[in-house]
Amino acid sequence: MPLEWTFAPWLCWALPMVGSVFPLAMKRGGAKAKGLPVVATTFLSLAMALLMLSGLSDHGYVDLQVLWFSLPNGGSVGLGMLVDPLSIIIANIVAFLCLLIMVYSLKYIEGDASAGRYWFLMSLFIGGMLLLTLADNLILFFVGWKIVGLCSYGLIGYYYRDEREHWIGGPAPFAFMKPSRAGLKALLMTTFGDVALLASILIIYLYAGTFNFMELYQTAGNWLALMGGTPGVLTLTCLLFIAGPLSKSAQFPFHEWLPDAMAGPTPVSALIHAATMVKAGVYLVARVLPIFFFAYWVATPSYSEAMTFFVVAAAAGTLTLFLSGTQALVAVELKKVLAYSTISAIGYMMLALGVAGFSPNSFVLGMSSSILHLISHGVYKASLFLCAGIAIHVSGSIYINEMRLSKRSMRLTWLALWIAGLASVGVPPLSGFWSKEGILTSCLDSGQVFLFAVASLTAIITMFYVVRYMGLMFAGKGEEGRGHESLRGTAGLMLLPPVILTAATVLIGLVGPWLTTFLEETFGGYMTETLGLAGVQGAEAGPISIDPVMFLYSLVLIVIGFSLSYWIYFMKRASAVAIIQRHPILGAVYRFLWNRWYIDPLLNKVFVEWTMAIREGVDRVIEGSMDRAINTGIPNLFTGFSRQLRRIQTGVLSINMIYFLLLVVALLLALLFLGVP
Amino acid sequence: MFTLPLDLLLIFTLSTPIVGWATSRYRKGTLSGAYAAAGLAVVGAALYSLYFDVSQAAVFSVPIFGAYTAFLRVDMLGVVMASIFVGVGFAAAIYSIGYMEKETDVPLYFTLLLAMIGGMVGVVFAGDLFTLCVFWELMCISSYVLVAFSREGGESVEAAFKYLIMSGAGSATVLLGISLLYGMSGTLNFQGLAQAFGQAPASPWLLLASLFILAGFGVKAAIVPLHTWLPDAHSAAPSPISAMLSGVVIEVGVFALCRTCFSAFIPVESQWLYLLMALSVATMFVGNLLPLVQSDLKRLLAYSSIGHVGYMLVGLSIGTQLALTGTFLHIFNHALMKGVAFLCAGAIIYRLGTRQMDEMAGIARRMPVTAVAFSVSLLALLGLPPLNGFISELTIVTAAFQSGLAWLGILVIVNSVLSSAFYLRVIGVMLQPAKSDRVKSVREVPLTMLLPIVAMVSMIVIFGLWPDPVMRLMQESAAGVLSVVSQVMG
Repeated sequence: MPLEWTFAPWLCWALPMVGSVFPLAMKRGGAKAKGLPVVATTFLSLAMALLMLSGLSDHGYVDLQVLWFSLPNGGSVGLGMLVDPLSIIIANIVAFLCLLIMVYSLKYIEGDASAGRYWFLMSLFIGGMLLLTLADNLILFFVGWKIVGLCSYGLIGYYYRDEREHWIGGPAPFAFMKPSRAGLKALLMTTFGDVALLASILIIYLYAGTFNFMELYQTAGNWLALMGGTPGVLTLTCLLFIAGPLSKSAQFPFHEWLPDAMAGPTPVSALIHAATMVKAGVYLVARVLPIFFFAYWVATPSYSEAMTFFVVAAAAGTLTLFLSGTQALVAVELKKVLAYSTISAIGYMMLALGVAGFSPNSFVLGMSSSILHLISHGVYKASLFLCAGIAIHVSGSIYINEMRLSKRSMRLTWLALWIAGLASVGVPPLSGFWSKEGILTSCLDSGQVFLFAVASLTAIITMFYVVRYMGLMFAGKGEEGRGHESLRGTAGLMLLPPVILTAATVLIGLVGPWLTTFLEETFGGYMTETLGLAGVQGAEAGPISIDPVMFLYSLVLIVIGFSLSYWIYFMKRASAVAIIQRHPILGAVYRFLWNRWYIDPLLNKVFVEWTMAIREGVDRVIEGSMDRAINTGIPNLFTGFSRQLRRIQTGVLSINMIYFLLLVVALLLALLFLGVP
Repeated sequence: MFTLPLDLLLIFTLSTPIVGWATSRYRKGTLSGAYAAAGLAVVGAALYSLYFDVSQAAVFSVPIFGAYTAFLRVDMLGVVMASIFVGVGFAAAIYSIGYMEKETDVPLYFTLLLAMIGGMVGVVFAGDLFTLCVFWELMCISSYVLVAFSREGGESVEAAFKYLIMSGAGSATVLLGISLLYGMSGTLNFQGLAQAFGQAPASPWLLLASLFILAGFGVKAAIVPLHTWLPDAHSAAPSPISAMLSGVVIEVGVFALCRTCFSAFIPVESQWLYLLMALSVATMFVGNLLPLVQSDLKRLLAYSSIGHVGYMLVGLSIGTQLALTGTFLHIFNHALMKGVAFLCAGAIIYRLGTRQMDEMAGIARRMPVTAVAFSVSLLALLGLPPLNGFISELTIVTAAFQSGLAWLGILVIVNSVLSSAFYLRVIGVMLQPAKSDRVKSVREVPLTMLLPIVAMVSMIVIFGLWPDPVMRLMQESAAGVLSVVSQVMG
């Protein structure tokens, strides 16, 4: 692979890290002045990412290895960078979205007294995200993974003073959530996954003796054979490993932290909790997918336990995309609707990666459509969130049914919301269409009809809720709407990024077929030529074709969802409230969805309330006795030793000289005892 | 004459008083200090060029011909150690410009500092025991005077006297041991000694000589029970000198033990290492138990140096390449950590005028940079990852486990845990709310004192996160030391 600028991968993540120092070091200057160096370093970081694009010209890779430290048993941990198609694509999309959202933040965070903290965390986040993308080994990857997790925690709880205006949840009779608590929840829930991931990394290391991705691929045959020797180890590794991506990407059963993460500032939600960090899990699964694929399909004898990995990914993805899609139907907070839709979209990606391993036919398509969905979702969801930020800012309400925005004076926002929203459904020819079609096709290719059906059903649901929030957010005909937008002045900074992102959504949609083919060729070539995975069906070269049956099928799904929702929320032929009140079953479903399938209350009960219940007993019995033993007993013991020992330190020279003499005599005796030859 | 760095050091030593004499009375201290610091920087550059020679030739002797050949023998270990001495010395010199401002006779102070560094560099470059002894005395004599430099009260003079007597006794036994060796072999050259004794079975006389040399160098290295001078001397000296004494001078003793053990005493190595092992355990425990109830900050740090010498001796007594790597790495890291710790303690004392820890409560708020640097160095000293002290202690412990001496490794860990009790107490005291008015009125020390601290503290962090380059240097040094053994044993 030609990579002329070998410094680019390092600078790409190091620059934002360096940039994060400026906002803290600057004593003077307002929120905006502190942000400018961060925007500048993010821009440079994007430039570095663009320099790496030349690497896409063939299907090879470059592993720039640098030793960090050696481990006693011969292994080592590197600081190296792995530049291959996957990391190039992800790094570019991440850097691009980061730059736009940083520009948006310049206006958003204006006037905030603690903006230095905001810029620091955001910049550090960008560095961490690019680090985990470009890392060439699991440990360095994990470092980046934890950095983004910590930044996410800090930014969700950015308004840690918990003023009333930053609460989410509600409205009134329902419970609210404070930002500091939301941050803690995210940190705790993802940590479960992180610990499991770390455990599996160590297990893999014990068998493979390396953390390096490329070496793991190349020596997969050897270490899998060792691992396969003990039944169950591979299954355990699969389960522990996938817990990491599932928790980071907010997939079932770890998905509950993401809706509450919306307590952070809106650009944070856009960048971290929609466009980039939550994709880190997808990236990691895609990164190790070839290993598990090799284990099940290529290796002889095949390791049937490796299938666990794909089954868990596909099952978790499918369940999540459906359950979060249905929750979006009833949510009334704009950002929460978008959060559910994010979880749902990532569910699609996980599903695609899972079915990729179900058959060699669907491998390349599953992987490439998942990555394409990652790209298109990152772009349109960032746009949606940024528009949501404008809408919340203008209307002063977080609830879609209270916004009543004026369509006339907020035309650009309205248009961007519609285009990005339709892209999220997969309306042709917008970007989401191509990726979603790819995912559905790969489900069919691998013969998973049930998964295909659930994914199709969710497409209808997605259409329904997109139209719903659009109908509720903007004032209808004849109503007085509010709000005002302007492209002039600093306010333009806030409007420009969503406009650019929406344009990109349309653009990606227009070049969709070519992009799809390009990704399929790239990943197909990478898998067969570089990794040497035999049996993978690569992309067939040929004219770009669109399957007319799938196309029609998608259209039918879209039309069903659209007409149903349009009928209720735009034509106002029927009131949703009235329908629910009339049918008790629908009412029960509504409550079920509103309470998030009762998963959140259950988790609260088990992990929060039960812990609180046993707290006192633990404190008294275990903590108290240990406290006495350790905090009083041991110090007293050693202080006693110390006081006794102090007596040798007399400070009297003649006694000191006697020690000298004693030592010589004692050594003499010892040498005699040890044996003079 | 003595290789470029050493020549330069001696030239600067001799010319510093001239600079002091030539300049006006008021700027004397600053100018002579700047001159000494500049001299050390030049020496550092010369060492860097020497490093390239060594990395190509592994070992070379100076001078090659003449009446007295090869009294210097420069290898990787020597260059690395000399760089540590010069580096810490450079930091101490810059720091001293501010610290010694109010003292008189500052040119003399810098002259002695340079002489001490010159002596240490000479010791590590020495190719035979006689040269080693000459430079050893140069180092010792200048350090006696430096300990007594601040003449307020009798404390420092008493400490220096104690130091002088004990160290003098040590030097005497070393000379006795050397004369025994010379009588047996007719040479004092390390290579020659190794060849003379290497193959032959150990004689009782050799054991006796080794014993005298161990006891003599042991005084300088502060091996328990020869450590009793150390807490007095290190706490009475001016703080930059304490940093030098604790950070590098006592390590010269460890170095000398290492040099002799792996050349002249190859036949008695096993007995030697057993003794060292026992002594190292005693040294560790005394060094980490005594500071527990200490209230004088500098005495506390001085005691903890004894504990760290204990860790180094553990590595030395295991004697494998990995263990020696750990020991040398710990010498390097300890120089940084203890250097920063003493410089920070000095900064606090400079502003506050007291060494008692109770009166330092709340200093962190008034002197944030110093307090942060101090805390980082203390955490590194107790072996907290990811700071540099952790890496070297881990290496030593790993070496112990690999050589089947798991108990020794566990004792190191136990001591590391023990030491956290007093290191953390210092941090705790600094963070407490201020009690006295004097604390409330202090401010951060001047920039010349802060710069060396910050530079060294960043190295603590950097070499904790990225230990590999230093680790490789130390591996090479250890291999160089052990190659003498393997050459002789065939």
